[in-house]
Amino acid sequence: MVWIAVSYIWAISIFPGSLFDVSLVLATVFCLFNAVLFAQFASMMPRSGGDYVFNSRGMTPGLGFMFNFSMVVWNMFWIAYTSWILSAVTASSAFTIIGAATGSEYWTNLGAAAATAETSFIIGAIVILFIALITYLGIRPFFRVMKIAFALGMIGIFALLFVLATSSQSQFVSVFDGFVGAGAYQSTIKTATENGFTLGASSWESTFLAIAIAFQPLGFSIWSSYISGEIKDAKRFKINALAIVGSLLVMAAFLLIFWYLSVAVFGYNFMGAVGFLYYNVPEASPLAIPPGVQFFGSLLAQNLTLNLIIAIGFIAWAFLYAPQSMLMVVRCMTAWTIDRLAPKKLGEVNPRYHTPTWSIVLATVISLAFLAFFVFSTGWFSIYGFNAFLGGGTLTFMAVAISGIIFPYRKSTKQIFESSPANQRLAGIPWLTINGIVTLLFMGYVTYLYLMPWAGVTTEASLGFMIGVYVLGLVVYFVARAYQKQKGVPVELIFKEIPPE
Amino acid sequence: MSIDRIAIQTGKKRIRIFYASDVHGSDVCFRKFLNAGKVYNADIMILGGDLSGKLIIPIIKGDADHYRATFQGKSCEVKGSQELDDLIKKIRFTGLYPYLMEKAEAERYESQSDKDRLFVKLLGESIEEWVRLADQRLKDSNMKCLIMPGNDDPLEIDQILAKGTHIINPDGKIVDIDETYELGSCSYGNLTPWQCPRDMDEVDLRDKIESICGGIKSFDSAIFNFHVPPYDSGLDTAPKIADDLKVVAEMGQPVMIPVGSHAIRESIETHQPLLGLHGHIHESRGTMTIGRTLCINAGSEYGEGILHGAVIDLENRKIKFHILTSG
Repeated sequence: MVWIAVSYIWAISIFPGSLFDVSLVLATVFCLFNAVLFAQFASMMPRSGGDYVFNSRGMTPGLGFMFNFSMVVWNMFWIAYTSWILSAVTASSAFTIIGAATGSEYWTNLGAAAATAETSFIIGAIVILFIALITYLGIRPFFRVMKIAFALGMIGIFALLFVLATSSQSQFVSVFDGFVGAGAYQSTIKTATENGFTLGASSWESTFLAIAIAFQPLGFSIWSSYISGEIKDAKRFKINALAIVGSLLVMAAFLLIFWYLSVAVFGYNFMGAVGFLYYNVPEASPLAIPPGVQFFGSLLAQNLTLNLIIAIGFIAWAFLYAPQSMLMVVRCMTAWTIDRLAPKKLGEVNPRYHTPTWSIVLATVISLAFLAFFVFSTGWFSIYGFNAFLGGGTLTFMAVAISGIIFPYRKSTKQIFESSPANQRLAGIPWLTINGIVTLLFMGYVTYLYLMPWAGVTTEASLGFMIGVYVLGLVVYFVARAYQKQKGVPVELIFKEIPPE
Repeated sequence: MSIDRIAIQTGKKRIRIFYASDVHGSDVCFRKFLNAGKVYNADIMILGGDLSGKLIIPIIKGDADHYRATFQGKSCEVKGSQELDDLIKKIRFTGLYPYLMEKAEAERYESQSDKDRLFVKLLGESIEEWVRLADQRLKDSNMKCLIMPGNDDPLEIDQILAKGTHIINPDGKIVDIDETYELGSCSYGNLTPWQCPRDMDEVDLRDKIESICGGIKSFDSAIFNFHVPPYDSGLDTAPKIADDLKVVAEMGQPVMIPVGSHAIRESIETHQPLLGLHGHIHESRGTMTIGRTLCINAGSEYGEGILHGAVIDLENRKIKFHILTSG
């Protein structure tokens, strides 16, 4: 949901004329195949670990580890990014608005301070340490925090919906002009067109390209498969499917509602223009902070209580996303230690809380290092933008898709499929294979979109990081096996198939 | 009270144990267990309980070689002997018991006690077949094979296991391994929501455990083969079950709680054996040390036909290494 804060505007500023609602619907439809694929795998092999479990069994343990290693690395990047954005963008813009709404210098200064490198590092670090603490304290306090964050987040979302649903475009024009200066709304559109922004006609080409951005909030509804335990029955398949597919559909519904309200209240051309200026011609931008739905909605609210509710809500969403990534990272590391692919220390659990202390410490230290990289370097965006959605997303999903395609046909996995609730077919072809094929094609298309120049993320550094992480994953896998072997541990037995006959 | 003792000899300085548990009626997993000794080069194989499947799947014979069943929550209809065989194989793969009957016979199984009797009969037949298979496969082998019931298994299966000539049921006994290691075994567990045949309250379980421990001379090299893992060890984390036997979920996720045995934890803390081998909680596969004792829960994915297990090498009264396997 934090995604809606800036991404609609970003999308149509890059792809003017895109019918973004259509992009969202198309991305939802294709992500459904991926969601069902994960639900099917989770019902066949209901162990926590997500793609690591599916690919280790569906492909080979080495490839399973390599893809999962990449997923884990980029999730630690994501923890750092979310913690940073909470301070530098979400909190900063919220405080700035409250300052403007109340005329309070204190809030205005706080907004400016939250965006500075030092403050955003300190706040980001506190957030990461807090996430580490709740993960360390065990699953019950963890979910308690999740529940509170979810409740606050939803209240914030509904408050923003209320503001947008009860406002008109003329009200927004007046508020924006009041905030920036007389005539600012019209002059923003004019300046943007003078600087090369295209107004007007709908473009199907832009609509299909914008799927890359629409995919971002929709492609990751599969998280529950990384943390859920083992309960296998037909009902569980339905629950898995409901949890994964349901969260995707609910997310899509909210995104569409916010999209239509945003266009109605802010105006399509203005949204594209203000984004175009901020991202391409910053010296001509009417705003010094990223323009977004949350920001404009808060401007419209003109009410301190509503502003606080929206601000707290959006901050709360960061506390929903990053801890889930931390839990996923820690679960995967623990799974590696069981398979002797990571030091035993990472799997040692605290006797009181039953959480793997050293996995949490390692994930925290790496996330803090990534945070420092975000805050104090200039080249992070392309590396993050590229890898967050490729190394940590589409490429892993493509690997799972390949596992899904071959799983019903491989000798070693055929029977697992045939005896599972996921054994459903269309014209004799397993749905698992069909979902795999569609997911492979769709994720391949999204990968292709990210490699295009618009994203500005395909740099030598970002490619190098991605390849480096995959190579590092393979190196870790082979070194771990060689090390264990040298200690006399027959690691080759860990995944050895036993013939039943 | 004296306790039965059985001596086994491997004649080796370094002994390799393969441990697995909770095959729950899965033919594939049991057959894999019998082959695991060769694959892992084990000297002793231990199957730590819960041999029984969970359900009967009635296959109702209709007209003209048609058969109907409800499997995996879906109704399915097959035609002819080939399709029927395939269906039976799929059902057996998941550890359930297919039972072919006429519609009129199905109507006779109205009461729960009738259904229970049929279940025990089918279970017994299945275990008898397994015992025959084990004897056949192990007759020319030097490997020692210990197969024990678990809390899910009716008491009737003890007599069937006793018929095996190449398997030993170590339950309630001490097995002396090469006069170096003593293995004490207990199939019973603490109370579960399902009221399983070998569930008992913690007080009775403590007495049972202590009577087994009473037979152990040196805990330094003792192995506890207790089906249920110690309480709150991380090897006993399972979904919380409500009174209606449904899984309790919060935010779409099952609420996980420790469900192991206090009595078993106390006995490990008090006696500090070398090794604890456990099963029972399928999703809590892992290892944990309590004091000096390495405790292992091999986990189970019997429904997927995957045999989870643990390979442990012992030498000079110490654990040389252990790994968890997926075969």
